[in-house]
Amino acid sequence: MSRGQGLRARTYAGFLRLYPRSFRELFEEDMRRTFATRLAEADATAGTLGRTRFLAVELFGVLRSAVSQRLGGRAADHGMRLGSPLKSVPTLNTRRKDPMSILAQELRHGLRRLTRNPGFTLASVVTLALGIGATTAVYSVVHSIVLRPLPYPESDRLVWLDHAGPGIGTARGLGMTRGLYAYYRGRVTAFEDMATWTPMEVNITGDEPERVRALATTPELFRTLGVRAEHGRVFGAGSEDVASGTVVISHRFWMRRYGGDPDAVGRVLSFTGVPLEIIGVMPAGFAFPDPHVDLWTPVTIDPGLSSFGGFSWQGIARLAPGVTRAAAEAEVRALIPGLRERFGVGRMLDDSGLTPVFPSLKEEVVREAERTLWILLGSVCFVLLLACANVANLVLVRAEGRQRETAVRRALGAGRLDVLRYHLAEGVLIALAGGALGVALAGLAVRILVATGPETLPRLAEVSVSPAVLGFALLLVAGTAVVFALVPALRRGPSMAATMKSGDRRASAGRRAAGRGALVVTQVALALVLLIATGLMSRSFVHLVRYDPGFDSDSRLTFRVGLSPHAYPDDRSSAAFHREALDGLAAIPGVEVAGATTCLPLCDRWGGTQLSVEGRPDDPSSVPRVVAIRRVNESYFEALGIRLVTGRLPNRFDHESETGAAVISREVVDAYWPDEDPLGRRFQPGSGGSDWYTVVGVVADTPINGYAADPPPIAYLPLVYGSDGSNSPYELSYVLRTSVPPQRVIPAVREVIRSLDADVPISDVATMEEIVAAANVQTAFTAVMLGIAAGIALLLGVVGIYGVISYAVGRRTREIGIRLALGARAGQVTRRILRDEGRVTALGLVVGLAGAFALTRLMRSLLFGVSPTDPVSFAGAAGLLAIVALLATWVPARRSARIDPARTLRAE
Amino acid sequence: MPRRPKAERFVPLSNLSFHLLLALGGGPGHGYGLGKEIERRTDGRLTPTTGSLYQALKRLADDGLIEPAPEAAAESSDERRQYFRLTALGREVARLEATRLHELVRLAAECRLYPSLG
Repeated sequence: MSRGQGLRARTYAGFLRLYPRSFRELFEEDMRRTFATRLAEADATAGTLGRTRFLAVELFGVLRSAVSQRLGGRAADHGMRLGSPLKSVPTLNTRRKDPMSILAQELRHGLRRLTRNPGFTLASVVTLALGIGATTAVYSVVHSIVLRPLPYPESDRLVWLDHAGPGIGTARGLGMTRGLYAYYRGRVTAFEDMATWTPMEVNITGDEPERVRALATTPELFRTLGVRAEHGRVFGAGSEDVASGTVVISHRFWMRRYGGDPDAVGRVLSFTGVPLEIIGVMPAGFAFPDPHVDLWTPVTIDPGLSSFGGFSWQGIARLAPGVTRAAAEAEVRALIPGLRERFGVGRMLDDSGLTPVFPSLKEEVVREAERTLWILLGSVCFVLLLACANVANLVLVRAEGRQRETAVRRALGAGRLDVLRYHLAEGVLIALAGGALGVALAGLAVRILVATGPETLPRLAEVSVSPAVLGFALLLVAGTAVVFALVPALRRGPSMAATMKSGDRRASAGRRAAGRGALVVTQVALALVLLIATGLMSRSFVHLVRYDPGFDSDSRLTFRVGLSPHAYPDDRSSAAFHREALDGLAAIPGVEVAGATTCLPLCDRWGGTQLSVEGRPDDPSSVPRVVAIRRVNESYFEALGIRLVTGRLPNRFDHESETGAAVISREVVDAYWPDEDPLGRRFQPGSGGSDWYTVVGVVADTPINGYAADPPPIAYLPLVYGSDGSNSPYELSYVLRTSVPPQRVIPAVREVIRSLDADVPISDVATMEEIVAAANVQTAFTAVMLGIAAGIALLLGVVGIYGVISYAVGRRTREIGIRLALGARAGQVTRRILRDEGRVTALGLVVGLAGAFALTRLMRSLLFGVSPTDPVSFAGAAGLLAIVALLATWVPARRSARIDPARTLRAE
Repeated sequence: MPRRPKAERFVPLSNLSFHLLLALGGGPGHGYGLGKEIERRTDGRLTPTTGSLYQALKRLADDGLIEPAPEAAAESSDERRQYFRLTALGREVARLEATRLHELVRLAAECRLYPSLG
């Protein structure tokens, strides 16, 4: 047997295991051989299409008869291609039944039934589509960004080359230097390939000069990633490309500047005045290291390089097969001491305790987004549950109305299984239609998201509805279909006799009404909870957008400098370094003001203590608030644009003469001097025994942990002060107010620091705008996404309630007819129905309010400027829902009150 | 007589079942051979899949219309194949079915829907 035949035969044998054991004992061997013979025949005589059809027909045949065998035992066989003359036997003759063709029949009947109830069908399908669509859309995002590997071959072997300097307080973020590259290359056996680059902004001259972001990279970058150019080529391994001046451009750049002309390869670009030949164009999806980079140009780093260089480079490496990240880090860690001799950087190594840190590339890229996305997925599943609940309720209510029909069927011999099939058919149809529509909606939503999503969301361009996502959606559809089938089938209806005697309506009227009432209550309560959540999120979002952080973030460059205690053994020396650095930085052209602080706004660190106020006795019963302490230089407030509320800012005189002039934020005033003027008052940080400070000014509050928290109280103390010499910090964050775009001064900044001490690295270079955006974007994005989810939930809730109530009212048509016939006026009847259903709705509202009250505290971390029990949101949501429920009750009530009562009674 | 009502219970037969009984009328056979025979006799119009074929055989066996024929297996070159032969009940049922079909065809001729059988 050939290999292909062997595979098919094995598949067939696998399918055979579906049969019950008794069958297999008799026939398994025979069937295998028969199949093998037939397979050989088919291969010999038929073409590819014929062979495929043969296999499909055989496998499907086995499937059908195996199911028949298991289900029916004595069921007839219908495996022929010709139609059986028995197809006309009525469904209720259960003697010769093939469950599979009965299912097909049930599906057809189910479709007919559904089209006869367009209201129910439409409501169910749309509801389900919204639920499945929302869940699928968010899952697309989660799958594409968090779960799917990066779009590079064997991307799990790619690592980000980073270093930590625990001795100077830097846990990661140092990056690479040219010296490290020269040293690692060829030495580290754990790396199959590595590349390093440095980002820059360059001017492209020509017809339309523009400023673009570029990378100067070692030539192996593309090879390490494993990517090729779409047109032209990428850099070769040698140095020819460097020597002759080449550049690879991004797809975006190619479209923008050359209109997608394939002849762009070979043209010459003027790159800050240097002509470079374009040798390749990257494919459309390629964005490394981020979507803003448009050009890559090669540089070589001499392996014999003798200078260590600054940490302004970044790098990646591809691990050799079978090597773990930990092993790579260990190997490199052992090589670090060798840097001492090679570059003479012994002091830097001792001070910083340089250590390699190699996170996987995906980890580095996805870092922040992961948590948020999982939360989003959880919330959207909640929406799906509501959708399913809606549809299940609709199905239940409808099933109630068909109890007579069901009872008749059962009397005529339909078994439990048949009833299940009856509902399964409808469930499958609704689920399929809802699923198809939902996937279409999801596709649309994903496209909108990719176009408008926050740029800081990593891998956004890669988000798409992939086969894995469709598989997920299919799973949802299957699950919901089963649920919708089981829900009505598992209900125990009243006996047939009771139903036949009194018709659908009167049987167990009391219990029936209670059941329906419970449905409405559930709908209303669920919808209300979600509505309230929406309200809270919307208000949070509005607050977020309007929030004044208390400082300015435009044109501000920040970075961190860490000194080591070994090199700077006392505060005077470290203070002197920082002072000289500040002077040097302020002197850079383009820098207006230079300031320094132990911790920038949104730096996520507290470092606080309580304050002891002079002249205030210790009150053991009250616990004073903890205040975050920052040490700043005198120009810090001006550099960051922190607004002064009252008093004055400290000046150079204060700081140089060490008068202990302190500035406090407004929260501190609220906490410690709520009824008095704090200016001129003195305090000590801690419980005493340290230096005294005098309040000279009050500034606006600035956030520490992001915009979601209440503003923390912050006290700004002078950078150098204190008789015990323990106050001067070793690590400071610098903030520069620039008159030019902040990135432009970065090289000058590095030069200033380097000229003071070549062994001191700077890290965490970012503009204040980037910091604020990073702190904000996740919140904003989450808020928007949750808002959308809750909005969908609102729509679902509204549709669901309307559907259930109007159907329930429709069921009372007969009662309405009787009342009208007995002389009631239409208005009276309508009011009565409103009152009855209204009672149920009111109960639902109460339950919903209670539930929301309990649950919204879980949302606290997502809210901003709004309490979880915000009365405006609660009242608004309840009011809206009450109006909707009222409308949903009133419209059908009025409609049925208008019908001619005689006709209503007759149409029994 | 208890056997008679039993045979009538199985009529009408499905097309495949009837063909199987007919094919076994000429002597014992096994699954593959029977399928091939049916295919040949109907000029390829009836080509059951292995699944439906063996399912039909199982049902006929369960109903007692056919039974395993180990002696035929022993005689043939392939001992492991599962051979079947008609039982007396099976013969009876086949005869009844043929009679029924004959009656139907005669009726069709009377209604001028089919040429007379003569």
